[in-house]
Amino acid sequence: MHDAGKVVAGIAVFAGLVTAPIWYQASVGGAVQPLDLSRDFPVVRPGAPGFEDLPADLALNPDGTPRECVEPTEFMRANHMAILDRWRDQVVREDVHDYRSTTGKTWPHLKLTGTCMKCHQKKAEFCDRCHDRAGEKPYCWDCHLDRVAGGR
Amino acid sequence: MKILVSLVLVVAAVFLALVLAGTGLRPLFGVALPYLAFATFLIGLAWRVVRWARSPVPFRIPTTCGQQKSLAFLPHSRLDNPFTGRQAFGRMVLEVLFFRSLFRNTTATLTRDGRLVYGSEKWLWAAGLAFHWSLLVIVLRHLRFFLEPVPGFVEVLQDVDGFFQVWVPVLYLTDLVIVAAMTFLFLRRVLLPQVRYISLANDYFPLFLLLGIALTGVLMRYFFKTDLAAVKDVALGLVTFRPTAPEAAGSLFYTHLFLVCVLLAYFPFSKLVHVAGVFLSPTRNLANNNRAERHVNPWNPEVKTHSYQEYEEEFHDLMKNAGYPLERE
Repeated sequence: MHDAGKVVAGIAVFAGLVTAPIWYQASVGGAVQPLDLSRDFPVVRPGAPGFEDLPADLALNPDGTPRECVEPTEFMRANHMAILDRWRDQVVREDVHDYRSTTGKTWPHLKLTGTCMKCHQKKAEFCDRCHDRAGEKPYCWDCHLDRVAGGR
Repeated sequence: MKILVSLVLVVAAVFLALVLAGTGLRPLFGVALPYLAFATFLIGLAWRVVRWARSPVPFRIPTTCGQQKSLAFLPHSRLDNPFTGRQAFGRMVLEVLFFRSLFRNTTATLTRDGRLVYGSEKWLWAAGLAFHWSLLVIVLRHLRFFLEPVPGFVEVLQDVDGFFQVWVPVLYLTDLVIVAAMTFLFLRRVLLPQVRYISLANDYFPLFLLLGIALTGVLMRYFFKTDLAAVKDVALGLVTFRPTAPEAAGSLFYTHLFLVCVLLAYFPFSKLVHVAGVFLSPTRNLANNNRAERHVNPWNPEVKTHSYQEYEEEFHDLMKNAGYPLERE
């Protein structure tokens, strides 16, 4: 092999670059566990102020667990940003405040802070966990409050 | 025909993955194939480079595009006719990052009155540059799935790429640019008769494959959403050697991944090795110093020589007696 030093160095640099994630995870990256989405599910405090004006079906079971979300969990995980985006356009441009879900239900007068965050109260524990992990920085909070009264 | 074969192959790969990712074969698409494809990519590429490096390049054969180093009053074109290793390095940097030799591309056309006219042709350069830079940004952006915590430069890249904040999730400019550039490159190949004539299946297949990868990615980001937490589990599992293939990641994701695997495995055996080849091009990476330094061909056979000096020494007496003029004395 000619210019063996340069060629081997080149191959080594290239191999190092394309395998960089392996080295990064082995050194800098923390211990990686799959995100347990059921852990720390926000416990809703029924006494929270303003909670009573939620749509009735979104209200809580007696033990504090939420009865129903506007969409099934799997659907929400993948599509929540599209729903929020569509709501915003509907409310701001068409003055339509109700949401018709894939389950066929119509939910009246939905809001981000006023509805979603009534149950999912803590942005840091609910929104941010997935967003930070996936490197997403949604600009919802440029305008919306990230807390409801009584939550954090 | 070559177009059709390439298209059918890519579409078949898409449907194969779409269907099989929903079955018990999912670990094949999420675990086994990515590892196999990546190993093929890395080993195959190294093998290609070593094979190239075994060919000696005894002479300096750079293509020269400017005045070579000469007398002091002639301005030397350092980048277009490098004389030192450093100048050749500068030329390589511009070549790799900005495709400088493609920038020089010209086109020959016949005018209506039969004259041959050469003109500048920048479209191939522009589309090629747009495609390659977009691809680089997109690959770097994907590091957000492979790295935990996500490093700052990846987030900066995302912010710049999604500068206009159109749609939720934010539209990345590189997604638009790469699809547009590849569409242009494909149309150029098909619509220009000369280019179509020299195009092979080896040209169409990677184009369709990359287009398929880009389009499945675009579909997954903007239209048919997928569970990003599950996607990150797959990516992180691969780099930490604790692979998983959760169903929640969705068939479209596994299709995207399968096409990437096909690309990686196909890479070392196709024209795509130009990613390594550009660094080993003797017409680019050598300094033009043939007149200043002697480069000896390493496989020159041993040649028996008999110089005039030796000849004169051998027949000195005979020549002197015969009255021939001698160099010595």
